[in-house]
Amino acid sequence: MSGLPFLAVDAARDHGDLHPVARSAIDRAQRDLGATFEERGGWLVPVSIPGEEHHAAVAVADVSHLTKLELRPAGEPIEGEGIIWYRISPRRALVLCAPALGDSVRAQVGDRFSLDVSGAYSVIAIVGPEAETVLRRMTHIHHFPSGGEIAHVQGHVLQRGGGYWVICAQELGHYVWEVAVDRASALGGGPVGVDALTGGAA
Amino acid sequence: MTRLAPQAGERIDRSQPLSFTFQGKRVQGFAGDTIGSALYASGQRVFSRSFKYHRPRGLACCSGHCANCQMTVDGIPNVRVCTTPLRAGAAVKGQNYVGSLERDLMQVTDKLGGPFTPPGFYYKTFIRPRKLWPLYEKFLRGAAGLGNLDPNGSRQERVDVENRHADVVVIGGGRAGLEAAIAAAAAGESVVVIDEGFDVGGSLLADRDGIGTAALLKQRAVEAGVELLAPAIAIGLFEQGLVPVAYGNLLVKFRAHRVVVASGIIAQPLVFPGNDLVGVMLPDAARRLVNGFSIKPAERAVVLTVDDRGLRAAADLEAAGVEVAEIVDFRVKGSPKIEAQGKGGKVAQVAIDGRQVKADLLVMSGSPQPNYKLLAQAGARIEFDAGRGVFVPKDLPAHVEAVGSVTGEVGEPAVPSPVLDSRGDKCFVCICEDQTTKDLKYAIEEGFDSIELSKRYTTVTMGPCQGRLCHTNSIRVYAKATGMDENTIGTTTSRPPYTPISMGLLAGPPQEPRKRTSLHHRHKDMGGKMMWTGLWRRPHSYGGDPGAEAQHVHEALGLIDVSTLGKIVVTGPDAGAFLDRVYPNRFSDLKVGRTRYGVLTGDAGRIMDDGVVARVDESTFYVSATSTGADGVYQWFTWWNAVWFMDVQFANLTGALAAVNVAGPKAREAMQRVSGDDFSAEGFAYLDAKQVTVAGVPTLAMRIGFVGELGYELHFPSPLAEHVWDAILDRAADLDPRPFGLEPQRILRLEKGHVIVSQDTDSESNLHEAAMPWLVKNDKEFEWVGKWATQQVADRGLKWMLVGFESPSGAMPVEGGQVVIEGRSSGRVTSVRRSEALGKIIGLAIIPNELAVEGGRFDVQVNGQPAPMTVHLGAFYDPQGERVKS
Amino acid sequence: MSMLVTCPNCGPREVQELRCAGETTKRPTETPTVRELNEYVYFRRNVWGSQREWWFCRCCEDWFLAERHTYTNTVEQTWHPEPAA
Repeated sequence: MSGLPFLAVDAARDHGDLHPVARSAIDRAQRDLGATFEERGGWLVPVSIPGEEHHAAVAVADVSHLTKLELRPAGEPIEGEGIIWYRISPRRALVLCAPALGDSVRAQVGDRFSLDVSGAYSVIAIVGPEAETVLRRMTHIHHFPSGGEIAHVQGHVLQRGGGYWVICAQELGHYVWEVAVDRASALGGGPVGVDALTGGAA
Repeated sequence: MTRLAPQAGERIDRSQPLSFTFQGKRVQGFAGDTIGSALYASGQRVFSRSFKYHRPRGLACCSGHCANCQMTVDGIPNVRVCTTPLRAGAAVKGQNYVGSLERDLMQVTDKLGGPFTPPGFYYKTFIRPRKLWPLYEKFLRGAAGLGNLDPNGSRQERVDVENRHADVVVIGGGRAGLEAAIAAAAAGESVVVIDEGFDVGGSLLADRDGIGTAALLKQRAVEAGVELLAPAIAIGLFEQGLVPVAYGNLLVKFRAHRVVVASGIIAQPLVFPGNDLVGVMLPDAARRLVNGFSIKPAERAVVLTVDDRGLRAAADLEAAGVEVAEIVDFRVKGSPKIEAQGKGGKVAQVAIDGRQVKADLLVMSGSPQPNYKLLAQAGARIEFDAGRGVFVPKDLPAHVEAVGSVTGEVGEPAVPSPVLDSRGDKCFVCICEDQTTKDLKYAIEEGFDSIELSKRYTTVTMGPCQGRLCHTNSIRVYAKATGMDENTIGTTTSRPPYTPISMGLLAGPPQEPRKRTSLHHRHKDMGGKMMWTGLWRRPHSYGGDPGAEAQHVHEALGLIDVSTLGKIVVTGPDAGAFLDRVYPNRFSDLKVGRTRYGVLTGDAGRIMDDGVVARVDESTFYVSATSTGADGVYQWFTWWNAVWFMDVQFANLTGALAAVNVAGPKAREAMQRVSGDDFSAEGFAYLDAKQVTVAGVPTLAMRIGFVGELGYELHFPSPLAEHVWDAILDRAADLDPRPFGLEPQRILRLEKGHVIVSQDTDSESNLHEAAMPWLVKNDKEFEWVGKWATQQVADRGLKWMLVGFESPSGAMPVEGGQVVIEGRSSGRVTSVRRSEALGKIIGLAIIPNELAVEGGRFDVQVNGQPAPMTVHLGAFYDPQGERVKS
Repeated sequence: MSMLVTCPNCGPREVQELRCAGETTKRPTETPTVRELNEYVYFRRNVWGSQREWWFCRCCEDWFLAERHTYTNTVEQTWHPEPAA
């Protein structure tokens, strides 16, 4: 929707010597873990975290730095390499992609009603052999993709990349991250940078 | 030494001795022992002291039902050691005694306490003199009870809650449960078996041959793909197949398509004098000690039984070398008088019709009562089977089945009166709570003749066994005493939890949801004192002087994070018409690029929420709502449109966007440092809403005046909040920008007389009496939501008015302080603060409408005395709004 | 929590993922008297039996209607409202 340009995270541009860069709601927790960041697609992405090599049992990563669009009605799926299509109901769908793919996704969306919700959500990946147990200790959701209650708050869970992606409101992102890391650490896992995820990060 | 020679099927592994401490002394057992069996094998017979009378108690059920074996293990109180697997190094202590377990000084309550501690004694004795109650209470709490909790919480354990789904959950892993599970798995269903014992097998594990059968069934189940959880306890049976299970430190919440209850039977105690002495046991207790733990439990035994279960116990005792002096089979011998007599609390002989038989073990095998509790919770009807003397479940709800002996198929036991016609003292009906037949009869005489009342008065069934060993007997005592039949008396309502479970397990892991804005860490880094607003964490102020913080906004420049505000997009051809229906005032005529304040009312005319609405384009409005009202307003809008089907859509963008209010005389200059857009007074007028770029970030900027100074409320995507905040503070540094929090904001808005919904309004406030009549536009075509009620208020005449006031005497009322007129409460203060800018105390209050004139006087109670207040209508600070419109 | 309700979009949901907004009501079509307005705002039929109710699904953010038996607590059917013809 062009009527609300102030929603789009990727519409930010340099202003003189000011260089806008977007941060996830979980950014500070990553910093405290000593994460190394890289700017990708206008976001500061935590690409690696010290000690992540020990967390293969179940890895928890912040993958919030995506362009996210809500389509109403859901309509036909938007497809392509690196594009995640999640139909919530016949009336709503979410499309997630790396910011670099944003323009091509918007071209596919065309005139359909869409809202840029890139700033609305945190997205947390939970991947590895113990991912299913971590998920069971956060939510009753067991068919995917699905919305529902996760860690006592409303959210959605997708299956992706050998594990699960948990989508929640960004104001709760730090809290859901804390819960996911807590459950993972009881099972020999823990936080990893985005580049440590195999086969699936956008 | 009471261990028998090694035998097939024994649980203990004699090649693995394990040692632990009991009361500080080292004791040895084997891997496979429970703590209880290891203690018993070492010669321990007194396991606890009873709740009220401090009578010595020993192993009685050996199945985790009664409270007799409760001890403190590694600091955890009330552990049933009869089913707790032994682990090396465990530190085990007895509980509820003064002195020692063997010689508890508190047993004086047994000798003397009787007359002082009848049922409900705390309503009768220990009442006068009343001022001594705190002392009585302290003594009573110390005298009665179970284990001690460490008030300092020195022990920590991790608890997890896990959500699971299965086609079938089988509760009870005895023969019937395992066979049902194997059949379901063979039919392709996913099956989980829950058993409260340390291993599946149920009552098979008490029987020498049964132990082998159990092992075979277990293997078949595992091969069929059945999941076995033991020890695991189903806490309750809730609707739609929800079965929460306590499994160690895991609370597993199962959702099953069908639930099979195979919880078996519990042999009931018999009721006769001395039936609680150490050495009086239920049949499976004796059999588990002999067959499972290879322990010779005594030298000489008497067995009382209503069916073959007791006879099997007798046979096992004989095989273990115990002399079975006498067997009383009630099917054959009728109902002789029984009395157990003891020495030092331990059984020494049994009087049968007056004839004394020496024995140090008395096995009592009463009615085989089906363990129906979970079925009752699920909604089954419980009926008394007079032929068998037990209660059985009937009319199971859909998706719940019962298999095995819990259904009531328990054979043909004799049905003696459980009281055995005895008239002695200390005929215990409820050994957990120390209630005897005499106590129950007192309760009946006092009028507690309904089983539900009696339960609450006597506390029978309210102890750790939760009725498993006393409910049936108590009802049968009632039946005998009142002449009513058991079905008329009925059973008490079964409630979860099935057995005591720890609060920690129910509480689950400690994380609680909380919301943070994307500027949260900036606030903390800048010294913000954080507070809660609903689930949001927000800064109260920075640096501890909110008055000075507010003053700085008047003088220079402040920034406040208002990201928590609700933000709802209303878009579509009917967007304006929709807003006209839900707001008292009009929005369809709002120009693009302008804002207007609105207040939402329900059809009761009560104020629900408020906020500024901006028109972004022809068909799109951007509605602000209060921080805690955002979700409610979104649901309000969407619900009305589910009724009206107008061509409009709604989106809740509260979290998607951050919002910062830049306010103060220097605000314009500050914005010009970070934006190339036109922020001049002519280019960006008061109440304009413009799409601009701030520090490179597309932003919706609204020039509104909540805090009474020139200001711009900036809305932009949350992930870019820190960038924008930092840019303004940096580029406008020489203008002395300072963050300000909620408390200074409250002062500033109060200086302007601005209302905060749910601070200055409540669930009864309406537009007229909240001094907002100018919002009411009755010339709209649609009967807007709240119009009729608002008109009815105007028609009946206004009784109250929300007004501003000053406190000329300098007395500071509290918020909620009562307005007092001629000695009557006539309103209250809703907001009050000291304004540094004005040098006076100002506030808002609800007062009788007739006093609501400029200069009107009213009193407010301050510290118990009336203090005079003066009405001030309109803003206190800059009443013409020159500063905000500059 | 134990109760499950089937959202027409999302399928069976645990009840805390939804919000029950109570009995359906009929809003007056013309200006009501004080009594009529009070009855509309405050009084409910509160039947023992099947009750038609509004429910909001927090997952798909749609409102739907349900017939729920108030004694057995079984939800007999759920559906999205349609505009009156």
